[in-house]
Amino acid sequence: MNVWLRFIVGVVLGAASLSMAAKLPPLPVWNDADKTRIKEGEMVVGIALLTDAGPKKEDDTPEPEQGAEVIIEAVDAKPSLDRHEQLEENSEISGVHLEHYFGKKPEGYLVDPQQLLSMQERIDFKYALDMHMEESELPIYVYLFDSAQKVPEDYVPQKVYDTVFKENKNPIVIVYYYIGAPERSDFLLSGGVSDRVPEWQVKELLWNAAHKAREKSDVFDQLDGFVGQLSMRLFWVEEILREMIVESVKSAVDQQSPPDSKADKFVQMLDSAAEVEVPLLVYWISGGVLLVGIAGVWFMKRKLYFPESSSPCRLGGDVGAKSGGILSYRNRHQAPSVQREQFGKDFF
Amino acid sequence: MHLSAEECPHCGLVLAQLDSVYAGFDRTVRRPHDAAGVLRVPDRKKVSKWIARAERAFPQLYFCVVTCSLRDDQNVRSYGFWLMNRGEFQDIPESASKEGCVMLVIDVNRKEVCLHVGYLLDAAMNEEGAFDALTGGHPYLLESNFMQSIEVMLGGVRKYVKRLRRKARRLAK
Repeated sequence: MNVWLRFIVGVVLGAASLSMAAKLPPLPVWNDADKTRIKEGEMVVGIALLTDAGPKKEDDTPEPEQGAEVIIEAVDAKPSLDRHEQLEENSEISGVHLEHYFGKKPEGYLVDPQQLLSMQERIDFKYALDMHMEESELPIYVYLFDSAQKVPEDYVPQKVYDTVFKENKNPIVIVYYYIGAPERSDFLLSGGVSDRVPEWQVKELLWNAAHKAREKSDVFDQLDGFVGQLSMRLFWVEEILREMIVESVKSAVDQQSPPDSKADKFVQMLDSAAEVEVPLLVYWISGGVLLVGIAGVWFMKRKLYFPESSSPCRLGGDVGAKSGGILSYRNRHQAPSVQREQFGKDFF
Repeated sequence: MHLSAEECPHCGLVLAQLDSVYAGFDRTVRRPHDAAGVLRVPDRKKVSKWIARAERAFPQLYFCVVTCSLRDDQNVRSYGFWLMNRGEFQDIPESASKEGCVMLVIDVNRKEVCLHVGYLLDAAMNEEGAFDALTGGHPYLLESNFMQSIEVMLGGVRKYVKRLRRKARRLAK
């Protein structure tokens, strides 16, 4: 019994080892040239491991020749890969930061390459700007700077609008906001008919927003209050812009339309009325009402004729000799209807 | 009374006898003929308009409203009969027949009213129908609200004349 058990175990293990061996990579094979060199004694197998030189490395480079001069060439300065490198608090925006701020039209409404806001503050602020955009047609682009940082003269909001937003045709708002110093904020309303908004109104708007921001002590709360106030005040600016757009459209139409535009308007009104689909039932009802009206008018206006068969003359009268019952009130205790019974009793 | 009687079978009355009774009365009949002087100028205009409308609807007829103040020996029925036959009606439409008179006579003294018609409407008319046409205005008449009374009675007269026309057309067939 034990013999048979050992045999079976041996067969199973042998089959398992064979199957595992079939999955292994094939063993290296000597080529004919190496076999010849080994047989002739030109090459000893494993000599690299047994000597001090060690095994040969593939990336070994030849050492430079002694006395050769090494020349290090200067390369052009590359912008730092770190986009969010923060500048000094009182520095002027320069170098690569100008590119980060004003290189292209911003993808969002918040431009903060220095990451002056924390991640949570940025999320909250972006949400506030998005909420403003849901209710308003006047986007606010907020550029954030530190409290004492300066923007070069060539990058004031108007010039930035002319270069970055030059393809924009609708009114927009650009705000340079200095964290912790809302009174330094710079504001630009530009595009479309926004240039007709009175300057005093723009200044008042900025002053109100800065005043609202100063009510808070925390810098982020200041920023939040500033933009919130700005958003509310911009509602009235939008109203002014809408009125101006309507006026400009009216004036344009008046200029284009010829003097006899009333006739054209009347024709347009008829055309638009003809395009309206009226249900068939309305035609039937209106036709019926019209027919009833015509019949009513005819009925009221019709002339009524008596047949020409007059009675013979009586009592010497040429025109007539007949009268109805006399309506009188002879007896106060008797109703007038009772008097009908008295007819014919006293003619004259 | 026979339709072709020359005189009243009861009293022998003829039109000529009434000339002496109403000798002092004006024979010129204006429309409205306000001999009693109870209608104001706006009221007269209203009655004139009603008369014009009625004469447009009944081209053969001419209408008249008469107010009078009769003595005790006079009577609204005899006065109406006399005035209809002896009166000189003014501004009668050209299309109107001489026998197409419809005259409403009101005695403001005794608060009595009587409707007189010409021979054109004679055949279809009866006393009860004419009486019923006027009863609506009686309460106003008792209150001496003559204009209101006339307005109500004229409405009844118009309806009654329409009924007379229908009846006359039936009788003519």
